[in-house]
Amino acid sequence: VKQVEIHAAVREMLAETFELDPDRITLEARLYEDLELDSIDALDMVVKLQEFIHRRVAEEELRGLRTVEDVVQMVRAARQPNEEAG
Amino acid sequence: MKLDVAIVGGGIAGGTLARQLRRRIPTLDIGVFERGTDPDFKVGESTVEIASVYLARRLGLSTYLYEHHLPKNGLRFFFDDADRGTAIEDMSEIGTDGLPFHPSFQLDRARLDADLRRMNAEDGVLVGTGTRVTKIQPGDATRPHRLELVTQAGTQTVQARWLVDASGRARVLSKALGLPRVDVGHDLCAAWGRFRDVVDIDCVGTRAWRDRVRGTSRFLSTNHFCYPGYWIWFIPIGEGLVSVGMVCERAHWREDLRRSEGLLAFLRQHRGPATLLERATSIDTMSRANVSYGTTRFFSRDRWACVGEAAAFTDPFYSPGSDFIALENDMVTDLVARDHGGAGVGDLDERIELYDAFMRLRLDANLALYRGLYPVLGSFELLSLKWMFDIHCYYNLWLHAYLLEQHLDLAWLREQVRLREPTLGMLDNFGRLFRTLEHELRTRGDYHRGNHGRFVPALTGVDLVEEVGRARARKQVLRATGACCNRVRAQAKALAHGGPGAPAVEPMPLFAYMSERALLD
Repeated sequence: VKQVEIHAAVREMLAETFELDPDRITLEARLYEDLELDSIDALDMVVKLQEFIHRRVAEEELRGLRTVEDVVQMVRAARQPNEEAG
Repeated sequence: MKLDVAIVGGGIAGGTLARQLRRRIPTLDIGVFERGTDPDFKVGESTVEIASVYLARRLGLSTYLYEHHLPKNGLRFFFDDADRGTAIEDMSEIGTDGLPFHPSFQLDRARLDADLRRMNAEDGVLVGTGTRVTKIQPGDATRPHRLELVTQAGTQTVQARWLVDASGRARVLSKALGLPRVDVGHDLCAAWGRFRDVVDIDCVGTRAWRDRVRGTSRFLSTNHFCYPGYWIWFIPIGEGLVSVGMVCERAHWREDLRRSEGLLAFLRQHRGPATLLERATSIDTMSRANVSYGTTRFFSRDRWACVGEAAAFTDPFYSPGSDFIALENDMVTDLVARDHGGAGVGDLDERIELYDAFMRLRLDANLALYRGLYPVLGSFELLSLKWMFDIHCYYNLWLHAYLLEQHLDLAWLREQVRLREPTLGMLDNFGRLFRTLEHELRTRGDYHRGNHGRFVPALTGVDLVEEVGRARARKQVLRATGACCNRVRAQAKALAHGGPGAPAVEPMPLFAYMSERALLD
């Protein structure tokens, strides 16, 4: 799966969940500063993300998610475990 | 005979459901089939806010409740020493000093069950007493359910579009379909009875002790005397009778509690309860093992439902039984009304699945409040902290949603079900926190330290009473939950620290409480 496609899917998920303008959801966009998500949004994002990648997201992992690209990388790693290892 | 709804069981669950259905759709053909003939003493007198709103508002029973049952003055908890020798007025206490903003009631169950049967029959519901259901042939969305009924007059077959199991612990349909969840990880036993000539708790103690609750009536509360591993209740039920009982983890159970002498002797080993029972005589005694159990399903696309104890029962500590009935009956009434009004199968099925998923969440969330936590009950410091968390969740999450009828709103239900794992994760984390604290306090010999002379008003920490039942954004509700988590964790850390100079505790975001972690680290 290409990064572009995952980015598109993540953008759609974030835009829909938080009623954001999709254009703001660039790879570089910071979740809390640029997209203005708060701690309750983080909870909703994790729940959505878990549905996306079919596994639990631990609290430390959530703390590691700072930008849209971080989210994209997490989804990518979940979908292509071999690629991550390589 | 053909019915729209056949209800098996004419206790509080079945009786209230028949009334509710009848009020909603006056033309509905409803049958209630009850095995017994005369209602007798049943436990389950104490109602809390959701059930009271249901009975008063949804069922239009306000006047009736005030005329024939007792107004209730909230839940109240007393704490004793290790030697069980504390006088009542010296015990620490959690309780109200003013009536809660939603009136609740102490129900005389035998009377309520009988009155509901009479009222339902007068309203045109077919009420068959002395009626045993001997055979059930479940139907589905296209074929009616078939029941074989046996009375003294003979045997007859009934067909019904909807079948509701309200048969209590008999669980007639539930067992036939293999639904019961026997092991819910919470193994309780209980013994109880009605007593005459119980001393009025408002007539004992000192003036200062009565002033502490501003002269309000403790007698009208559901009074809990709390001990490690078990508790004792005193609930007034009118006409000079008081329901008194004990609930314990199985490790504390003894078979002689099943007899009135055994129960009374046990109760009298505790100085507070002994004072109240000094001249008391026992009217009857009942007992039960396996108090708690669950179900794998509440509602089905095959047009059946289980309500009340025919579905599940968690724990009587916070009197949740009739709250469950309120939710379940609202849902069944809504489903039957939609079906009757010609709702499409797809729409109805989606609703059934969501209602069912929500009730299973509600059941598991309620069980999480008690599972493994009986050792915490006997310590004022521990239980007041746990109570602060539990009552906040109850007002902020459950009562609020009920008042706004969000439990019938698909979007709200989807949200709840989506947050099932995080919600249960948070409750488990706090359960672990309270167990860790209990171990800590015990090790230090501080478990009973706060059990003398202290008083905490029951709604301390519920800083949103004025907001409950008013429209609030979802984020506001979740922020309030997060704030409560932070408050309880900070106090728990101070308690774990044990003395003055506890380090400041950084607040955490809500999600941190919902992933598996130790909250005291």
